[in-house]
Amino acid sequence: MPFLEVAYFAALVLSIAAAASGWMRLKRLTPWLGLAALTSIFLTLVLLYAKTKRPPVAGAIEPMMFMAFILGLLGMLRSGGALKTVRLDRLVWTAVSLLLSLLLFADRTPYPAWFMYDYTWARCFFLLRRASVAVILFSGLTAGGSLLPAVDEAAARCARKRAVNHLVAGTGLFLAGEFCGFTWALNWLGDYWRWGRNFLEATTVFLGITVVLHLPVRWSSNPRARAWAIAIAGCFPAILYAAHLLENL
Amino acid sequence: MINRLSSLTLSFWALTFLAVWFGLGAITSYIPALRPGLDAMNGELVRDWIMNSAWKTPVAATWFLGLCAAAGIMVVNLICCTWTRLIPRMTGTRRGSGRLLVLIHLIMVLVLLGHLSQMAFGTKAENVRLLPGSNGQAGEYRIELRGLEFKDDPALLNYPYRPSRRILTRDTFHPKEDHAEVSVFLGEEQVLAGTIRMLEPLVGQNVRLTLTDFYREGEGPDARVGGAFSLAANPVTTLFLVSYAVWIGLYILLAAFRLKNRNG
Repeated sequence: MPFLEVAYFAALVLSIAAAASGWMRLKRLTPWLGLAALTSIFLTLVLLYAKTKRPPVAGAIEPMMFMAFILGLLGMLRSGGALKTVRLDRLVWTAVSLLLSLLLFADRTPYPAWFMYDYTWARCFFLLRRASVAVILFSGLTAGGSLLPAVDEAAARCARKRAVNHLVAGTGLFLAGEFCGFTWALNWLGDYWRWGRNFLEATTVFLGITVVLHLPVRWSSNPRARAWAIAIAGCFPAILYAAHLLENL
Repeated sequence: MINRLSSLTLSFWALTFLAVWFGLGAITSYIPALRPGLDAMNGELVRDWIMNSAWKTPVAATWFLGLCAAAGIMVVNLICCTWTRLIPRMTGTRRGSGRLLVLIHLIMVLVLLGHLSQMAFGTKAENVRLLPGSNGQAGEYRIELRGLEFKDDPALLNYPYRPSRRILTRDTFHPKEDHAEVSVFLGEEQVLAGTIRMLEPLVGQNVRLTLTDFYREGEGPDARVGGAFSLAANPVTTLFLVSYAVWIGLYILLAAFRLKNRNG
């Protein structure tokens, strides 16, 4: 079995183990398993880079591993402190496991080196887009975590606040990616905008998030309604991305 | 009246409608029978598409009119809300993030006007296919392809988009080496001239000429390689892109503020 496959399966198994450990409340083991999973994901990315000589921009395995890495990293760094009782790590590693599991059904060989993947604006677009999907998903998971039973009100409040902040940060990354994509399209096709599925879907995602940031007072004053809205908007881009992956099988 | 036009409830519903409407547009693009309607919108300026051929594809035309109506309501709401609620807040707040929020909404108005300008003003023509030594018309402009050098294998050309991504690799296709010599005329006046490559458009006098693709005419040793060009002329493109970049920069700054200050 090639090294890449070994690294991928190690990342998958360790992510599932970290998620299971989180749900079984093994508080000491979970961070270590998470760290091991994150290391395996990083190793897979390094092997992919060695093989493709480009950042993780194309095909199925490269972007999925990159998103899993960003999400796992956020889970390691941003789940502590006031959020401890939310036990966000179990949600993060469950999401990482699901993302990596999708690759079981996809072609895991790196995508050919289309000349466009060497273009800086294209690279920035793909990397920022995938990073933003991961950050926005983290925001959705944080909001979802605040809705779980046995979470005390102080932690839930902190989780909701942090979810909004990550939603705004993820959207900032998303928009930066859009700018790179616009520039790429302008220099490639002569226009920054195309009336086509990718552009329309991206605008739907942005507007969906903007809706959540403009909730009328009667809903935004209800913490649970607000958390549900962020959770749905946060998970939507990742679900869309997964749907595209499955569509291309 | 102004209170209703500037309300958050109106913002919410206008944005929700727009999100659903764009979603429907995306779904439309998955339906082969409806896709040509959207594709036609790319070929020319949206203003010209509306005036000339929009109703040949009624689903796309209806969708676009719905989009314009919802976007119009959102812009009115954005301007009213900025004027009556956000600008007064700007003078009253000392918080950096509050001021940034106001600026983001103000510049958003510019960005939306920029989008409108790109659809309504200037000239746009796509897929002007020329062989070396020939001329082509792009709106009121004329493109002359004086020469073309394609050093790679012409057999790589003419594949549809998806397969071509696996064929035009960094080993087989060298966009820095393949180039064309072009001139662009407005009437008898030459407005652009020079060497053009893929991803390196010629820009000047508010005109942007882009070499979007190479194509092959004929087979075997008699095959000739030509270039597909896109021409756009709009005086406010740069202004629009700059305002867009500033808007995104402020948004990222706001995100950084929130992460730093609000128990991020």
